[in-house]
Amino acid sequence: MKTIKRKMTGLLLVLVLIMATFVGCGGKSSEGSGGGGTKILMCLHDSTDTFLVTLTAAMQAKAEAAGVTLDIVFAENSVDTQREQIKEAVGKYDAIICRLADSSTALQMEVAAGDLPILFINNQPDADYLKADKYVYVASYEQDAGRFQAEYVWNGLGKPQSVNAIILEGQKGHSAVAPRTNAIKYFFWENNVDLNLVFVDFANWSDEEAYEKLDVFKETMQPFDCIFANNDPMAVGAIKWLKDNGYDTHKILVAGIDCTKDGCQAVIDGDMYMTVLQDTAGQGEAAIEGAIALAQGKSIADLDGATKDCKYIWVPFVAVDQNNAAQYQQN
Amino acid sequence: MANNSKGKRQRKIKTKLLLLLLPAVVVTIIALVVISSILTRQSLTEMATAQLDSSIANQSDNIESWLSSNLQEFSIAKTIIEKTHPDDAALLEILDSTYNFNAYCKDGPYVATASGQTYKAAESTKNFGGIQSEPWFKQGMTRVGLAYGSSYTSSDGVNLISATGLLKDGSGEVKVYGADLTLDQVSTIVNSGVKMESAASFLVDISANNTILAHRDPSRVATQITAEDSDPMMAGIAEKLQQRDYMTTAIDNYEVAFREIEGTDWVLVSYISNSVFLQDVAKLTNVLIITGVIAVLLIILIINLTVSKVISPLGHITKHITDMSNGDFTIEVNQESNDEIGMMGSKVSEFVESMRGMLSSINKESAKLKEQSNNSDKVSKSMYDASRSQADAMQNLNNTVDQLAVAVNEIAENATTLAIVVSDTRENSNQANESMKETVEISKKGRANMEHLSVAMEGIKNSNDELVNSINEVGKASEEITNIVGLIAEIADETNLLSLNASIEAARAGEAGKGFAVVASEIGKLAQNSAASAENISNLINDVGKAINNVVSQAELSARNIEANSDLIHAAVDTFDQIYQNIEKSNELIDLMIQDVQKVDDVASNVAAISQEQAASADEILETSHHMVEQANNITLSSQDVADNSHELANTSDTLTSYVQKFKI
Repeated sequence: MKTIKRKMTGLLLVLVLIMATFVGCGGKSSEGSGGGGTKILMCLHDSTDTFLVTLTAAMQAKAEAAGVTLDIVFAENSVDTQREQIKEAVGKYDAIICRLADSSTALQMEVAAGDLPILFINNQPDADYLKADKYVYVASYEQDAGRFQAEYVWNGLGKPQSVNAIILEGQKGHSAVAPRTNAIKYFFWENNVDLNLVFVDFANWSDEEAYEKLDVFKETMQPFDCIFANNDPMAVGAIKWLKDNGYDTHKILVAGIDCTKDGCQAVIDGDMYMTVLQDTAGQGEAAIEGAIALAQGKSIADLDGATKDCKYIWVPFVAVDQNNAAQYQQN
Repeated sequence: MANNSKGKRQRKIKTKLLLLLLPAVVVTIIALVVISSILTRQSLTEMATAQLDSSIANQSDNIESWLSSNLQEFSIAKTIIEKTHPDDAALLEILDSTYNFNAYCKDGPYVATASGQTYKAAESTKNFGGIQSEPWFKQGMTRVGLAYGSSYTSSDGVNLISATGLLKDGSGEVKVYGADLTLDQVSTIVNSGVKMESAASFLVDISANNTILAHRDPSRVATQITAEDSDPMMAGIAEKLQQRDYMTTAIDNYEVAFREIEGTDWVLVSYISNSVFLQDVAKLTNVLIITGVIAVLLIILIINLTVSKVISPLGHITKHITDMSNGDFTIEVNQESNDEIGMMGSKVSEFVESMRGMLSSINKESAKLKEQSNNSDKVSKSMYDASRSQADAMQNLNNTVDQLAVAVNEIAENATTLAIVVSDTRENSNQANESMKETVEISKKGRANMEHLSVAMEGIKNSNDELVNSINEVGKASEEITNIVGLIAEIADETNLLSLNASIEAARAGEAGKGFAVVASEIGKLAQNSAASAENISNLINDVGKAINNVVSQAELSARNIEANSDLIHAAVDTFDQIYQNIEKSNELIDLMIQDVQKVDDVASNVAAISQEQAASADEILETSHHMVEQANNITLSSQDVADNSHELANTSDTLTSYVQKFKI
């Protein structure tokens, strides 16, 4: 009797150990969201950034609707100030939303935040410093922008089998450049379109530089059907160059990104075929949703746009062409 | 025998301990092995993935920096040319001077114009070919900044990539500046840059239908990687490349990582076979299992040794206890260890010591006890005898008194019987007296009744006489009625005559007397009716007269009968008187007899009372002597018990002595 008892106890112990081993791996649950009492701190780098002003308005509204407290502080472009602000948040807040003053200081901010989860927005830290359900980047999915450009322009050209294209890239080494440019290439490759890149060069986001680069290209006298620019200013520069060189902007299609004031105006005027808008409000809402989930110790896995590795929440871009440009026009 | 049982017990304890401990140990060790294997597998896989990630990151960084440093070196000459706007001779001089500037670029930098003009260093072996159709020239026309294009095979049959760009020297002519790197060199860089043991890498150009730029297997270089590849891992990689899914993943027992090389359309792929690190898991598991088995064996051995060592003193103690149970208390127990078993030994020793002392004192005490019990046995025996004879004497006395009592009782009984008989007699004569009195009463009543009857008879006779008188009166009245009726009959006859006369007169009168004639005939009829009635009444009265005469004669007969009865009753009354007088006399006689019986009863009662008193006294004496006999018997029994007890005591002390003598002390 006693022997059996002891044996049972032993077996039980072993079972418990084994169970603990397996259970220890996955205990994250995701229940319905709702953030009663959750406090979120938003650290922004600059109070004058219009993009951020739009973003904060959307976030405030979302936070109010979700019943969470959202406090906003500005670092005025100082890494030190930002670190101090994050350090002080420890113990007072449940999650931090941060627009890094300097994208290379992500690790420093993570250290300052202690155990608090951080959602980075707008300025992308290195992927190595992101961690599943802890340090998450919320942004528009750059590849979508390039894909929209390619898709719209190809359709605008009448879906030809072969396309001669110029790509004006932003700054060499900038995180947004490769995804945006590659997405254009990928789209044509995937649609079995013979993409002939007659000119691909960096114009450093600048309309003037775009103009200059195109002037050099002019000498090669290669034919081209369209110009893809990594941002609107370069697209605007390209339009100017086209006009100066007697091209018809309704035949040579130009696509930009960001839907700036000038870009949007160019779309309305018909000079620019299309541009792509970052869904600022969507980003703000996604950041709040993500922050609530992380503050409550849940996973972001169930949120829209969350990647499998739970390190990114991608908010879709919005394509803007003549049909809908007016509603995105900035004053 | 003792050794045998000792050995048996030792085995039992050992076996028990082994049975208890071994399963627990084995299960624990198995659990540990399984858990460590699983955990190791998990963490090794994670580690391998992480290591692969870091290896590929490092490698891609290296490739990127190698490419960009080359690019920068190539850019130096390009910048110089663009800044200095050299003529042809100066341009060649610049190209000559920068030849061998970069160790990887065998042909050095070169320049070609759209018109077919080419410039290269003197030592360069660059074969320009058809310029306009050359891939490098086409690539160079698409950019100002120097950049790498897709790989291609040169006219010499060498796989190359070229860093090319438009030369912006302000000449107005389209000039392309370029520098070549062979894919072999890229391969060397890729293959030698793998930072993880047993991992391998290859480079794919996704802009050229996934052409492999660098691979360990030279036959793979410059071929395309497709989803139809015979190697499932390569096919899987091709699929991932097609989907642009560059997340580190497991494909066909390989961990595969992807990394895009910045500034190019290249993707670096790094992979490692699961078996490489799972081999470690298997090795570890084997080591764990072997260690586990050894541990189990060691534990068995240790338990065996420990138990043997711990319970060896128990053997001695067991032997001593066995001896003790056999009655041998001459043993000496040595304390062999300082643990609980040692303590047990010393306590057994103390026990043996105290037992020995106890047994010897019991021995002494039991001897004394035996002596004493023998003494008391004797005393009780003599006491028993004495009480026995006393009881006998008492019994004799008792019998004598008993006989006396019986005699007295008989007398008393006889006297009592006599008294009862006399009493009964008196009772009976009393009852006779009562009966007599009742008889007198009854005869008295009979006489009175007879007298009453006589009086009644007299009354009846008077009434009968009155009746005769009354009837005679009635006879007289009926004679008067007969006279009256005769008168009526005469009247009726006269009336009838009158009516006849009237009728005749009427008939004479003729018509005038007609009415009168009718009345006269009616009256005639009436008179005739009256005469008939009177006759009837006369007849009736005659009948009444006859009846009355009958009644009178009957009444006279009754009067004579009543007189006769009256005489008989008087005679009966006289007879009753005589009976009454006789009974009175008998009654008096009975009263006398009762008085005599009363006297006899008194005497008999006295005798009975006296003899009863005597009987009671005899009973008391008997009771007392009974009591005495009982007590004498009790004494006998008690002394018998005392004798028995002392006997038993003697036996017990004998037994005790024999027991104690069994122990060796």
